[in-house]
Amino acid sequence: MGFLRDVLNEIVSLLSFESPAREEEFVLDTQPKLPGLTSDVAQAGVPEPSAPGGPARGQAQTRNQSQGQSQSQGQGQGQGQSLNEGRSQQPGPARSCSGRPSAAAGLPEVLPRTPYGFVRPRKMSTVKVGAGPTPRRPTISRPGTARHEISDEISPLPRGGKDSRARQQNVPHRSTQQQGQGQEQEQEQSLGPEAGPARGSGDEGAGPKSPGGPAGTGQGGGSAPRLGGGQGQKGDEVKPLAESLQANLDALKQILHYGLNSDVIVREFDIPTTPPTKAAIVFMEGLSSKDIINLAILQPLMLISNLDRDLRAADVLEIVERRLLPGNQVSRKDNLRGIVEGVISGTTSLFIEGCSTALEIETKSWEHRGVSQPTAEMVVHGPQEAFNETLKNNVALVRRRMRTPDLVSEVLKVGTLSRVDCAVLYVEGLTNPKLVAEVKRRINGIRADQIQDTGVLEQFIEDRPFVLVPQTLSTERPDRMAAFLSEGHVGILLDGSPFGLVVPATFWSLLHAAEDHFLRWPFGTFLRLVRMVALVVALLLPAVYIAMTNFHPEMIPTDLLLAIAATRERVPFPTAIEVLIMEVSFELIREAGIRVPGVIGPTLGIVGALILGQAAVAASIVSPILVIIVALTALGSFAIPNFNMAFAARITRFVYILFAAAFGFYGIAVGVFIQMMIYVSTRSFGVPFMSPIAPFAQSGGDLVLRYPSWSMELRPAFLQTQHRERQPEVGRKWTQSGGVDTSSPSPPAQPQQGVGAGSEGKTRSSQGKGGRRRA
Amino acid sequence: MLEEGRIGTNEAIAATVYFLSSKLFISFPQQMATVGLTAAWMVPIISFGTGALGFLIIAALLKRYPRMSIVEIGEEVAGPVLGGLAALGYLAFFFAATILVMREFSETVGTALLPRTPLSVITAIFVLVTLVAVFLGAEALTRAAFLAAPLIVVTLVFLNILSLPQANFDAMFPLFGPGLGKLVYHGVLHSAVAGEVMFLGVIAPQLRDGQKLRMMGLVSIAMTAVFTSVSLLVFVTVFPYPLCAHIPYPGYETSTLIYVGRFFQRVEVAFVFLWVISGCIELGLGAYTSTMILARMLKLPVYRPILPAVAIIGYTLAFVPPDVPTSTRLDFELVRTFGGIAVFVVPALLLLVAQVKEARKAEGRGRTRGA
Repeated sequence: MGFLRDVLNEIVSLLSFESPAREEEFVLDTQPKLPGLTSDVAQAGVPEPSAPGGPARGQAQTRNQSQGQSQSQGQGQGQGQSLNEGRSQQPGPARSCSGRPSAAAGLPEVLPRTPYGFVRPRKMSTVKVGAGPTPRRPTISRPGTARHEISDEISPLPRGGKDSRARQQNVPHRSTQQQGQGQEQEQEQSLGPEAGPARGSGDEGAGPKSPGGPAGTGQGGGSAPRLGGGQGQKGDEVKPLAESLQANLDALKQILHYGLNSDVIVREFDIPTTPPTKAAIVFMEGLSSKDIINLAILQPLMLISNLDRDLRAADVLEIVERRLLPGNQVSRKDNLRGIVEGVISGTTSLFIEGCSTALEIETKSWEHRGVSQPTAEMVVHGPQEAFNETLKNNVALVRRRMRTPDLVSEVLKVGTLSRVDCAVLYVEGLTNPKLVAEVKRRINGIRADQIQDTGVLEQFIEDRPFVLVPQTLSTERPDRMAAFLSEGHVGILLDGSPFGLVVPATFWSLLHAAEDHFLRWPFGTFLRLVRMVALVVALLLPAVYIAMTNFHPEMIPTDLLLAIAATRERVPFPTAIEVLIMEVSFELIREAGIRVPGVIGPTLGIVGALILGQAAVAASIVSPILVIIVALTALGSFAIPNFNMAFAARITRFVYILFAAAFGFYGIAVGVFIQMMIYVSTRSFGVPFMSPIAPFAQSGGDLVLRYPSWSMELRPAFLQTQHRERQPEVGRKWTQSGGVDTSSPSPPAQPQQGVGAGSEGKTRSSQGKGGRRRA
Repeated sequence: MLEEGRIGTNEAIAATVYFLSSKLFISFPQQMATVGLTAAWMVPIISFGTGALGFLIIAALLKRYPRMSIVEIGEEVAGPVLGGLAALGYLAFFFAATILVMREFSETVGTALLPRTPLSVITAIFVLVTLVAVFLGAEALTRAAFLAAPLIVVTLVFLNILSLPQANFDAMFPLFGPGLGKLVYHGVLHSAVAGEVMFLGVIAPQLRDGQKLRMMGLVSIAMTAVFTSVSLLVFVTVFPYPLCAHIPYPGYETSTLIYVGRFFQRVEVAFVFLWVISGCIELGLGAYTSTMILARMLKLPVYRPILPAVAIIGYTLAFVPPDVPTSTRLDFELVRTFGGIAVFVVPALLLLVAQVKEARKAEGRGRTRGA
């Protein structure tokens, strides 16, 4: 029903002539507009400068605002130079089109440099859940069970927050294993005024609430649907733990349906103090490692602890945390919501009698598939490993290829029931912060009970759900995702999905394959040209055949025409029907080939070959030349590297067949025009789908053709990255005499200057040959 | 919202070139051959040259009133009534030109591709496609034009090169055809062949780089002049005058003569395929410009609601000319002759009035200071 309603809405909006480019649409525009022409409009739309770490979502991306952003990115001496050469209209300090400093558009004026190569902007605004007003949180009560509104009960202890933050600050970036923990911290920090004073001024949670932001995001809304999808709304608090062990366990058991849920384990024991201190651990069987629990939690606590007499409960907790638990990740939790989140994710919670704080020990361990070869994006030449279903492994696979601390993977929760982790990957200091904020805004804005795969996630976050062509790039290759991240894209990984998403996606990127870069450039270019031909063949070949045979036989050379006529002599169907029969048959075989059990898979090939290849011709159902046409079309669609794009081509092909059957070449031409119009008006995360050709922007040599790797010096302009330059002008520095210091085979990374395209000519010519290296 | 979308420099140039040059595929060469005889290829140079001068006036006007389209400028300078009349003139030019182009494209398709399909069906499809294109807006249209720019370039280059074996360059002589005076006369008289350049004046508020507007217009006109002139040169050498003046679609006829070996012949359909795409873009641009002028004239906040009305009126008017020669004659003798008044003379008058107004204002300020 919902889908039908959406379709109806879409139709109504069309009939009511609403703009397809809706006003609130996020636009990551490629070029700034002329200040003189439209600055008044822009001024009206540019928000106030947000505080460091302020809410990204507050910057609701109207067209005007994004213009402001693009311009501010394109200008400014503070940052170095303009990103879009020649667009800097005014000298002086960086300004947005509203005349405000560029910080208003999300970019700092002066960027501090990190030792890792990228200039780190001010702290990115972290996702704050529940900053905006939300509808009333839904609660579900079941007969016979108490309603546990954990989310209504919090009063976090300052100490726990400080400690956890301090631990977080000690490491340059959160590791994957820490993300869950960090996520909870963020959730807690964003709980509103109650949490504010204890968290200090730098607390993201204390940031201003954005009226334009999404409502309570469901990111931290508890562990079950009854806890509601919104967290952080007004009055949404979490009750602190009691000091009584039994009270805490009772509450937890109720929430986790202890007794009904066979995999919830509560193990009570005594810590050998004098008198003995009661304690208990709670964990989920199957999600937690028994070895770790036995050897690193129970054993030290029960057997080798030798505590002093008459310790206070707080001291016991301190000693247990600092001396007795050898686990590498231990954090304090002071409310049930955080504990439940942890337990259902596989951590183990330790409760101690008399303590209103529990310890959460990292024990996640579950069965998962190992890293295997890619199945959908195979290459002959290149890495042979693919993502699997475990998020932390997938992040690690990407991180292994991008050993920079600037690679950030922020984890968000999606799905009120599934509560799966979704990692947003980007390179801090390189990727456009607006893009990152938009990705997080969309993910946080998902209202669904479960998101099991990136294929579902994609549908929730894409710009135009009714456009056939995919607007995100799905990949199972960590190397490919790393390459995209280094260009300034944003990657999205979902726990449980072996496919990652890359956004924004452009038409051209959907026709690229990982192998293009692993081969020498002439080969890569050749492959891309072959793929372009394949796309045209997959889309148009049957339609062109129909148009030629039905409407314009004079186009066909006489001999060929006679041959075709002879083979068609005994076929009773018109060409269009003949083509449709064959195409539908082929689609049947393809679908059956995927669904058929592996054991009888080869049989299907024989059946298909016999039916389509021989028997149909012998029975005069189809002509032999049509078999060739359909086979070529199938090959064309198989050659399209992106599965979703191939799907779009397969379906569009039928539309072309109908157009050609009705109007011949005229129908095809009209279809091509409409398709072109739809493509150029589509956006992927604010980036025009046909970028960088329409609208035109400097592409950096990685488009239809593939330039030599050493000549691809610029990142795509349409991404509006904070650094356009990918590598210096002279990438093969050894070709210059004295250009390479042979004593240091691996030169240290140097901080990359804030170089933009505005002065790129100068900078690259003056510094490029000086041997600046890619950071 | 009238000013949605942003149009880059490249896209604006591509769209303007399409807008100006797509008529090359219909009866425009025939009209040029009618007035220019053997020197038909010179007439567009003169016409577009004159059109470029006219555009300089439009550009000066637009520069004086940034952030405004040519319609609002008219009302600002000459008041709502006279400004409205001026806008009505622009509207008449664009609407009439678009309707006649649609009719001619439909006739071309009917002749070349679908001889047994009723003209009303072909035109209806053109109208529907145009409706979709205009609905998606100028941003999409101009980007599509830029994306398809290689098509028109490749088409023209191949058409001209592959036609060369059929060309007889003796047909160029006498070089100045009816005489230089007549060439200049016809060229200037029909300067409205470059009238579509006013499209830039309508989309001016949407241009990213409005300061380059003059450059955009001049580059577009120059490129179109080169394309059309070279193509006409080929046409008049392939079909020597007076044959060329009597062929309704010399571009199409030229493509039918292409013969590169036994296999590569009768490829006119492939060319028409590309020309249909060009035609769709041109019709989309024409309909968009007309609709926008109308919406701006009527001070509408959005232009899409009037699209169906515009489409139905356009579809109906497209059948007013009883046949192709009439529509061709209407296009050349009416729209391309008197259209210049609307698109070039009226802006010149507006510029003059604006100048005088400014001078008076300055004078008034001087007096006030003196007093």
